[in-house]
Amino acid sequence: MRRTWVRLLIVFSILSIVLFLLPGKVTSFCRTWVLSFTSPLQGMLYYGASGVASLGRFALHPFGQELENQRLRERIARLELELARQEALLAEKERVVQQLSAFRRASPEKTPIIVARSIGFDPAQWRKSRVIDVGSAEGVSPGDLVLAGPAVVGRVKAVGKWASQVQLITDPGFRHWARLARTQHEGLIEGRSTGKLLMKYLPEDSDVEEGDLVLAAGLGEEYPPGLIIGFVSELPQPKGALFREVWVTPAADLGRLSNLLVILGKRS
Amino acid sequence: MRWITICFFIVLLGVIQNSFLRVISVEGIRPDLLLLFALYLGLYGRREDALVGSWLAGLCKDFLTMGHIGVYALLFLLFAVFLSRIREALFREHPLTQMILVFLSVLFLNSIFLIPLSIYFRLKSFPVLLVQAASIAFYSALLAPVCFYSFARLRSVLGIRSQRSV
Repeated sequence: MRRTWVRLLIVFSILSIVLFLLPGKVTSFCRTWVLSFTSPLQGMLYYGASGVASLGRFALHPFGQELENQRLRERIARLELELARQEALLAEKERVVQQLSAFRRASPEKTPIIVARSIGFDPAQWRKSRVIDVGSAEGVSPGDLVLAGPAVVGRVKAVGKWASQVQLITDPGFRHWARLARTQHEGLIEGRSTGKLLMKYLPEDSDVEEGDLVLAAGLGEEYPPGLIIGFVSELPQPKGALFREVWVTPAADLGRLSNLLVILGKRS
Repeated sequence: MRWITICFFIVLLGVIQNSFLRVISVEGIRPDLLLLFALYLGLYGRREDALVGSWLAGLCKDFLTMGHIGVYALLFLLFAVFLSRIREALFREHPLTQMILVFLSVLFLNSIFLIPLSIYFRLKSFPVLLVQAASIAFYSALLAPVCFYSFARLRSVLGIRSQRSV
């Protein structure tokens, strides 16, 4: 009896190590099948959860009304402060939406855009990903960019038949070049599991301010120009190094993703 | 154990954790159902069944998340084996014991996972992530008695046998 479980322990440990060492393509292939298998049930449960949440809010309404009023008053006060800052961001977003629409009208066959919905989260919580309800049946391929309006949400990593896994910009493995809209300085965006992004390799003397808009760079002609990644939120004190790092808050609300746009096209 | 039923059950738990649990998530923090099931097997199942079942639960989590496959499978396996070795010394029927065990296991497992992740991706926010790990552990521990009771009700369906009943 003792030998049986020791043997099983050794076998499964070796199997785990072998799986860990598999090439990325094999791993993606396996995930493709898992996505295809689980996506129908995942979609049903996700929308079921929305229904349960709505029912819960309705049931608790009489008891939570006073609490809700207090919460709403606090929220109004915060939002009024936020409104002033968002007006500049809104003007920029409107400009990009117009560009996106013009781009879509100019090349509807060249780079199709499809609408997708988020139907699942990453169970690990350290890796930031979402499952969306479109896959290879709709023409999605690994590397396709995913947007929430004009804001970049992430990039497709694994594609099943009817669902795909999207690596969010806050995932530790996400890397992309970006530029500051105001000064045009370029840097590398890296995701952080804390929900913020780190923009690295900015020139040490770059004129960065809080609230500066960060746009995606180096995407290529097949993508609309000026896609928003976020805005600068923290400016750590420069330490005399060659390059500067700043913290960026994503423009998209990654906790409340619903309708997304997937740009089908070439990879950058 | 009824392995085909167990496999479907594990996949179902994974999908529920992925999608339905957002109803009860607090600031993005959700309990870890797959780990709870692996720990349940470690506490109450036959040692061989706990080993294989927890490995499958970890593998399911590996497939549903990003990154390399095999990491959670190995970690779940080792935790289940550890629990199966010490369970005789515990009063495992008591909810407080279950909650403390789950809290420590989830915290320790996530900490172990975070260390290489932080090194590999050069994350400077390790303390913040550790606080998140503690929140996940606390939330999972709160739900542990309910989940363990539910798993116990499904023992006959899943074919989970205790160590003494062969």
